[in-house]
Amino acid sequence: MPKKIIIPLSILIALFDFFVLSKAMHPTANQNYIDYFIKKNIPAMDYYYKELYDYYELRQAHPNMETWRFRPICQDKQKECVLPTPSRSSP
Amino acid sequence: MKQILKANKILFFSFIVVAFSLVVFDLETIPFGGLTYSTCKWDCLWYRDIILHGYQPDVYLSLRHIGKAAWPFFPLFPGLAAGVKYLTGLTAEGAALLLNQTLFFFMVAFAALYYKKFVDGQKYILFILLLCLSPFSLWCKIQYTECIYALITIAIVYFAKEKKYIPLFLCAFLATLTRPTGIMLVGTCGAYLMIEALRARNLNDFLNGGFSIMAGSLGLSGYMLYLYHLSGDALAFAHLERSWGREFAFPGAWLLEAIRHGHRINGLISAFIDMFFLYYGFKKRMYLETSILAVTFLCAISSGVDSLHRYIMGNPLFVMIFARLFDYKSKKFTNYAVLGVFFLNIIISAMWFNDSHYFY
Repeated sequence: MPKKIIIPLSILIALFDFFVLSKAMHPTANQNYIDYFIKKNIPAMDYYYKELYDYYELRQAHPNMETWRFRPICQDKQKECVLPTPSRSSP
Repeated sequence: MKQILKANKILFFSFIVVAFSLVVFDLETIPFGGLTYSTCKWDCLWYRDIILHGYQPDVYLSLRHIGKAAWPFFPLFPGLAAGVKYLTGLTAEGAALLLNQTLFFFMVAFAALYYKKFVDGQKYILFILLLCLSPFSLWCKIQYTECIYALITIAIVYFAKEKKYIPLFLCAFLATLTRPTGIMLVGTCGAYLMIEALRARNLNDFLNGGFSIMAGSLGLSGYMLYLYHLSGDALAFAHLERSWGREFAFPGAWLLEAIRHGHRINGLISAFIDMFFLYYGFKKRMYLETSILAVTFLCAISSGVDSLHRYIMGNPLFVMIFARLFDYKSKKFTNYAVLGVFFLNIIISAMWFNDSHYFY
């Protein structure tokens, strides 16, 4: 590709990359998975198993967790709450 | 017809061997519960989740998947599989399998063409046999990104060596939409082109080499921007890796940790095998291919030894280095070796169908 095209295109992409990186440096504050699992440097599974053991204890320990942005929990059986496994059948 | 077959001998042969290997692989699933059930393990369930529901803005709070979301799984493979699902009406895992096993034909043919042209013009049939029949092909035949990533990898190194820049830019863009390590692949190839251009004192080639990295960064930035709007964190794909026990550390630290605690032995063994083949690749002067694998190896091992075998051995560039082991071996020895890896492939496939933890 000729350099007359490459240079302006590269500048445009670099500006776009810079814009995305600036967003990456400042994640929005309401991400609870970041607060509890990332910033505290605790893998989620360890946090769950070692400190709280089950959902009810987790909720007691953190009364405001209803405001957390988690996917639907298993109490509501109508909603899918775990990764579904495929059925034993061929296509 | 005979002339056409003769002219396209390499394509014809690779299609025959791929078809044979897929028939054996697919028939082997019958005792384990059927084709799609027994192949869809581990990460496949996450791809299935994406194909069925797209990316969700929240993480799971169920016992097995607490704190996890599908964000680390890049969108190209599940996106294409969702398209196949829409067109064919298959199940999600069936569509992903159909996509991968179809791409496997093209990946092997393209890799064989590359091997014949740039690595070894004589023993390309051995390479095809090893690529299709050895255990290294396991992940290309199931619902993982290995096959599409392998195809893109081969396309990138092919177009880089041929200096066909427009298809190279397109493949670079697709590579970063397939896997986080795509940017490493593109960066290595771009650096290779730039160094070649510096040696030849060619400014245009230098700029084109650099632009391949920019094209790759566009794919990654696009996905990051999507994640920012979805979850509020553009680096969510990297942050979520922590939920899988992956954290950044000096590469040697993970090896020492595996040795000290005596777990993830499969990853540890794989790391040493990989290091030997990286050394062997450089020794055989396969600089571009080995550099790509070395960068991928360093990137993968800096976050743990899990799945290291898949990242390296599932790559056709690794099989190219592996095939060079037989450069000076007798025909009899080579034939027995191919037969040996074929039986090993059958055993390892059966272990995969049986939920083995060793190969995910």
